[in-house]
Amino acid sequence: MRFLLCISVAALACLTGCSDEPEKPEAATVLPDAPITAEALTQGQALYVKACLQCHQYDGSGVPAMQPALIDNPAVAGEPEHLIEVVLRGMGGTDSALPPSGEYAMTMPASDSMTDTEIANLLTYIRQAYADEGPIKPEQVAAVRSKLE
Amino acid sequence: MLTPLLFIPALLAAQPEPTTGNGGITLPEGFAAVVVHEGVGPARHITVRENGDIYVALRRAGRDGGIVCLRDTDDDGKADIVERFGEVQGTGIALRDEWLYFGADFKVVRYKLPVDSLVPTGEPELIVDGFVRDGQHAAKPIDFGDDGRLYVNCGAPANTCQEQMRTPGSQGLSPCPILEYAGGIWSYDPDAPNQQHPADGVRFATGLRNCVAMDAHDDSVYIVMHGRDQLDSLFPEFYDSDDNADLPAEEMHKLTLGSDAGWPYTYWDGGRDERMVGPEYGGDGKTASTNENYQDPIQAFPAHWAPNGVMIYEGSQFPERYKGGAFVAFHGSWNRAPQMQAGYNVTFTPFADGEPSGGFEVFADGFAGKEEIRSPREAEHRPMGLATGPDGSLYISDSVEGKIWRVFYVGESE
Ligand code: HEC
Repeated sequence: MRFLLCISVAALACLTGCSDEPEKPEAATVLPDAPITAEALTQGQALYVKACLQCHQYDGSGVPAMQPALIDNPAVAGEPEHLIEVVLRGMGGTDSALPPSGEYAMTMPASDSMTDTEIANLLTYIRQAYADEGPIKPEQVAAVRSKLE
Repeated sequence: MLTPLLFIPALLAAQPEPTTGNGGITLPEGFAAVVVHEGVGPARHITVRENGDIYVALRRAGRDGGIVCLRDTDDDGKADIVERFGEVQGTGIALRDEWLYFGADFKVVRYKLPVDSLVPTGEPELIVDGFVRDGQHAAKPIDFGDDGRLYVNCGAPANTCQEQMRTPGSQGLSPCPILEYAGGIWSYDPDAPNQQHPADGVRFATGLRNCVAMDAHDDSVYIVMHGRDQLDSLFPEFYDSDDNADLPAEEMHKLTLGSDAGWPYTYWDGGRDERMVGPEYGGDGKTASTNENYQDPIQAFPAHWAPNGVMIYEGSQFPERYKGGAFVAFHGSWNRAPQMQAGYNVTFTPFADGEPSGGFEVFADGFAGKEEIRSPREAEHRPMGLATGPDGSLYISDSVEGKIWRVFYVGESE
């Protein structure tokens, strides 16, 4: 089911212009109350491929005992603040990270060099592909980032 | 070919009846397998006692324990009695005299195991404590050397030794502080309780990222190391995804006291057959290491296959060319995207005088249940631990469901 959705998201993105070059971060925007745009999903998917796929796998199924699945993961479907914090701080391995769950023989690196819009689009993509949940906005990322500083 | 061979029928008396289709795996001609158990739970390493009792470490302790004991009471190869004990999970498991040693992730303990008793009596005794409490590469494979010492693999809690863990472009620390307490193999006194790591141990070998596959044999410790991950995602200016999928070999080493395999400063490029400077330390994918302290592997396996068990075959049952050679269980890769994942098999490398005398060949395959694996979760079974039984059979454990195969020779004797 989720994997099919994932393909259809990619197909949807392709309908609106599929190129080898990922969109420039500035080009993709999520308007505060607008529906999810294809540009946002395209950029989110490209960022997933670049920064997350190796560990969480092409279909979000994770690797047993190493990296959790993002499918059916309460952190993906749940509170946006926590999800944003996971990406900004990582989990385990360093003092600045969220404490590890102890379930996995791997730690999750922080990805705080992405812009607010990039993180919003990335998380919008994984929420749509793996949890059927609504978008995350750059302002929400900015709010969590400033709280952490 | 020209050597005249005298064929006599194999002694089949003690051999069990093979399971139909060898329980889903393929084997070379002349070999067969019986499924000892369909699934004891997520298995790690396995060991077999002189009386044939089998002990399996589990990745998750569950309600009933982190160690499974199996006994076959009617010689059909299948487990008839299955018991569980031990409060924690772990990987390493090894027998010595009347003791069962267990490498839990953050400590090594032992249990008294009287002769003929399947389940230990009494409480665990703490042998080594004080390992770094980091989930990465925390598995503690253990084995006993010919010198009587207890060898413990202490995997590095890292991919390489970057300033910022697994962060694109982050440079490597030099010297890498991790090497003081991990990224190597330490030896301990197997009879002394409450030893603290690393103070009470001897650092036997270093520069080892993570060696889940470890076998102390003769005067050496043979290991197959998990090579580094994420070349392309961390250093996209030097590597593309094919480089990541193909270059950093899984290195097999014959370690002696003081051996250094070069982690985190270098990695072995299987294509160039050369030790390269890691990109965290000024490497660019083209610069070979000139440091003579780092030893070359005795065999380089394809990148990311994830060697989780190695065993020098000491049994007498298999044909001559297998004796003294190395079986390696490959758990299978997760870090080869967008290429298909690979491994998920057991290989054999013939040895002469303690070193490979030829390339490796796939010995047992089909564990994954399908040809193409894009993501590890698609694999039905993943080979994990290896052990030799008292009759020379080869035991293989699976980490997904804990299926256990016993492989034996049914071909002509030489
Ligand atoms: C190096 C491997 C690795 C990479 C790359 C990685 N993760 Fe993770 N991720 C992990 C591990 C390991 C955990 C589990 C940590 C734990 O439970 O202690 C995890 C956990 C998570 C969780 C669950 C958090 C929770 O509260 O349970 C989410 C969501 C997640 N990652 C999203 C991402 C996203 C999005 C990316 C890309 C920006 C990413 N991960 C990149 C390894 C990785």
